[in-house]
Amino acid sequence: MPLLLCHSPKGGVGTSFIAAQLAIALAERGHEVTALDFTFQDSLKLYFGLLPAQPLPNMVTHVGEATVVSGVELLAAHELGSDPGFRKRLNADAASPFAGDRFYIADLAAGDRETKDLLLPHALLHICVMDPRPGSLVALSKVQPGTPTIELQNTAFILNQLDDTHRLSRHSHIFLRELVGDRLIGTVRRDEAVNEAAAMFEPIGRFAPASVALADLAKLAIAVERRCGLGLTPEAQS
Amino acid sequence: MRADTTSLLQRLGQKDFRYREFHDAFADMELWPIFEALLADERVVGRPMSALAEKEAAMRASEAKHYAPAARPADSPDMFSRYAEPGPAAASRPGDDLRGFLGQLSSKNSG
Repeated sequence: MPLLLCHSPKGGVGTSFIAAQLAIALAERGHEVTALDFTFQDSLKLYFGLLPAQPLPNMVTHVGEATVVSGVELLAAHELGSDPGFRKRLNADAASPFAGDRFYIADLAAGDRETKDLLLPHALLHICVMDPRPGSLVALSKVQPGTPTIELQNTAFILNQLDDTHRLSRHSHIFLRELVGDRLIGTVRRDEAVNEAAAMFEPIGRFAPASVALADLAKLAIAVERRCGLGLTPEAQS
Repeated sequence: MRADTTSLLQRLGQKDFRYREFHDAFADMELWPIFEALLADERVVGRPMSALAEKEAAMRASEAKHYAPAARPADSPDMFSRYAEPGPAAASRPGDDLRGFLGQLSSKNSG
């Protein structure tokens, strides 16, 4: 089953937020979903409404009950990226640890290229989050060093924090759409309610059910399903 | 939702905002220098830059052949300017070429 690898060459564009919301939206659509936080910052849980001091079970060592929020199993995986056993297993020809009937959504820090390169061969889809700012745009040259960005067939782009009232934001959207075509699978409009929800330790769906970002995220989950060749699950259809 | 927002919606007799979207057509997109720099970066667009160079050359040649206005010799009076030999073509805007290249990429993506 799919490993969705959320990694951007530029930090601060909302990769953790998108990873979390995508996990929640896919769970709402009836999929079994596990979100893996590979970042040192440990901020993925914030978008599930968990407190900073609330520890997540470790992906390898945890036993007993899992932490499940909004239908998503949450696991800490930061140490896993440097774990020799895990690296050995991923590099071996053995069955992928991400096999099974479950979506795994990995949230990776921008600077953690090593873990990204380790996981990429196992990913059904690499999700590259961007925002319509120069710092993010110039990072287009570093999405996958060695391969021109427009030739990355397994990478889907998401433009986060889009603000149509700003010229550069609109033009960046058009530019990206023309540059990567249908590999731009969605946009998420900028909404301060996203930050307010995180500051309240509440999922955005509960804090601001009318948020425009939320509507965009719902569309995004469908776009990801399509990219992964998956339709609606029977549970979500009923 | 914030209290003042809820209050405003109540006064307007609405349950939610209707967001206006400001879409720009492709033709209205300004070619910001950062876009031009990305389109000239092989790490982004790869080898097709040579296609851009070819396209630029072809466009310039085409413009020089078909659309070059008659240049007025510096020392000719205006009334004779129409009989002057065609001069070099007016330089095309680099943005047009890059926009064309981006358009090519777009049609390649959708094809």
